[in-house]
Amino acid sequence: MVGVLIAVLLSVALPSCVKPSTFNPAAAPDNSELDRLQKILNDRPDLEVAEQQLIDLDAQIRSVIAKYSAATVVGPSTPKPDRGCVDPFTHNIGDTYTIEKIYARPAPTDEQWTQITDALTPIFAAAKFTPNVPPNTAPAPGTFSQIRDDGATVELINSPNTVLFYGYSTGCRLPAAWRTAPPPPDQRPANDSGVHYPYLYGSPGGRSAPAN
Amino acid sequence: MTVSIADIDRWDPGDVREVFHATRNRAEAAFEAADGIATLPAFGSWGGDAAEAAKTANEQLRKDLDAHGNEALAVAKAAQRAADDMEQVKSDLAQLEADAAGAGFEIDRASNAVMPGPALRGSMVDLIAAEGKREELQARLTAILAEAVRVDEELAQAINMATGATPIPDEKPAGPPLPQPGTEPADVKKWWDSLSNEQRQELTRTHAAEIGNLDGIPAAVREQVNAARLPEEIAKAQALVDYMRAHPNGKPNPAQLAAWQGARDKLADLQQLDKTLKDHPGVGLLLLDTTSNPKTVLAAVAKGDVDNARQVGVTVGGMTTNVRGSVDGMTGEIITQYDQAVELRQLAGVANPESVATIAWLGYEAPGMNFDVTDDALAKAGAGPLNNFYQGLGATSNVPDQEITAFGHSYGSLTTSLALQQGAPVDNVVLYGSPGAELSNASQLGVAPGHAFYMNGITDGVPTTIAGTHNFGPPLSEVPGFTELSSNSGHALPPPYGDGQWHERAYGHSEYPRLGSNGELRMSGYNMAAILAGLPGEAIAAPQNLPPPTLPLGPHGMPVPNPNYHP
Repeated sequence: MVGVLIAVLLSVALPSCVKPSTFNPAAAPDNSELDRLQKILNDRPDLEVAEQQLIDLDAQIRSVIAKYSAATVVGPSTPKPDRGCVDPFTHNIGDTYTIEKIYARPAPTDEQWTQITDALTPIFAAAKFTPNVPPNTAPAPGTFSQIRDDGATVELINSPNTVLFYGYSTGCRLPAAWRTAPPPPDQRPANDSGVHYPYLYGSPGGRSAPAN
Repeated sequence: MTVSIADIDRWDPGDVREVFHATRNRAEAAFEAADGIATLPAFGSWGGDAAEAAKTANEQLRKDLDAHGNEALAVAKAAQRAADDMEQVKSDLAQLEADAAGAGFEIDRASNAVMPGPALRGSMVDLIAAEGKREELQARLTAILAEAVRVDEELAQAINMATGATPIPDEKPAGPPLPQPGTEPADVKKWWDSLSNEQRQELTRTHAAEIGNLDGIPAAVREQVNAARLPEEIAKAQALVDYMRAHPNGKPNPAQLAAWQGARDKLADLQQLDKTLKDHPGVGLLLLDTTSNPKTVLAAVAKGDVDNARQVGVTVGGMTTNVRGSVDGMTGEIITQYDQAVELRQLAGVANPESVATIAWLGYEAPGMNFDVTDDALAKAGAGPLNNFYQGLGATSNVPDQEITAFGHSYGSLTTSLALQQGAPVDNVVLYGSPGAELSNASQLGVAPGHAFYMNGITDGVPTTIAGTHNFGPPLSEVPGFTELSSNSGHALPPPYGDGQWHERAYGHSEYPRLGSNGELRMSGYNMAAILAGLPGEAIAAPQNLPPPTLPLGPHGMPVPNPNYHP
């Protein structure tokens, strides 16, 4: 009986009150939420700017690792081929520059790791990164991952005697060209080939079809 | 060689069908005689050299009769095809004439052209306005006449075969026959292994859809075949939508409306699949079924080398999951899950750390936001195909100690449970946000003790309030044999026992596999990656004796989830 009651309530309430994204992790949020997220990434510096900043940082990180743990072989920074964005911007218009995760061996010793993190602290601070933990929470031993207010992240995790893990991402952003012209055809939504900046459902517009 | 409209008018499919009937009767008589010889009672008891000689002679006679029957049948089939095609051409021509008359045109049988009728000839303005229509009608007439030429040649071939002027082609099917529907994936794999490379290539060419969707065929083959099929499937779906749009029904009935909706949805499914695969190079299309379900395309996408991975995960979504709306998000989730699992294996220093594959299985019709979600019918319907899919993964694996983990979210947890209860080569199961899984004990899932896990998100009412109605059996928290994993915020264990990162809580019903605001998987997603990685000791258990989540009051005194709740 209770089941029937819930069934009736759900069948009446769901279509009118509840969003697909409330129940489905992969569903698009409603238009107002998409617009809110789009404004966030529209306000971020261009993808190319963040990409270059991280590439510069990459060189400094490698230099520090080489200085204090010369035997550690850090493979090349290879861009990930995936296009578009991840949570929470999966259904927005934007792109991301992320490198494939790097597993460097041999891992720095505990002593070397301390030297590396000490040397990197002012470098990250200068680039406006902070440790990727909640306020007043200490990072776990062996971790030195960083985050910036604009969504850029750097991951650094050392498993002594095993491997040093390193990776970075710009987070979702707009390439500069997408502000003045639409994205390339194959990077527009499959059902909305006419998208244009600022890619909003509300005024001043830029998106018209429902997000997939 | 040309065929005029007058020629078509003279065609009589009935005459050709006479040929079909006569030759088919001849074929049946030959087969009957051959069967009669094979079953003569004398062959059962007769012995000696003479009997052997008679048997040999009769065997030859039987083969000759069979061959004769096959030839007669080939002629019959050719005649039948020709008759069917003739009728189609005549029907198309009649329809064209009707359409032309309705638009004020007529067909000139002498010139094979569409000409203005009397009404149009009287008004130059109307004539110019109708020129587009005339061109469309003329294009159709040209196509009909081209088809008529082909049918005429087909008919000539049938006649020549009947008179002996043309040899009768050997009608042996191209390539070996496919396994019967319902064949066990393990037997499909054996059958595939028994084929030569040439036979496999032929089958992937001639039966691409069947091979691409057949559980038991190696994943790499399926991915290759399905990727090659996708553009053609999009073109077909687009053509259907275009046709339906060009031929609207004045007052469509519910079935016609459903067909129109289904056609558009399937096109959207395929277009989104195409974009997702282009956005994520290296992700394979393990399933592409455009025909089984009238409403939606069924698909599965995979990250990693499925048949050579030691750790394989299969994720099944729940309510409102469909290809067009979910494949992009689910693909992102399986890539993140793959990356996290590989990272954990690297940090732990296990052998072959990259031996991981993740799959998003959208191979069933999940309930929409409607009454279907309160019933287990769709879960039961999906359980069989999902079980078969698991069986296929087990059959095609090249890794002896392959470990499959089944992930099921929400209604998909019910589908997953029902699939596993049928028996599957699955080693771990993680159900999250489950409304119930029609279980009384985790052992029914067929996994070893300690390998069944569940997670309830903070403030997620589905695994608590909804599951509390027992509509799909008891809540998983009440099912013996399950281990609860954490959905709360916290650090993972430091390396090498975890990644040591901060993983935010999963609140509500849909955050489990998502990234938190810090760019890391939420705790639930981290835990799933740890199970997938084959490192269950790195998963974080649910904290005990927590205070209830706070629900601060919002506008009008209504409770709202507290985003700062980090127990």
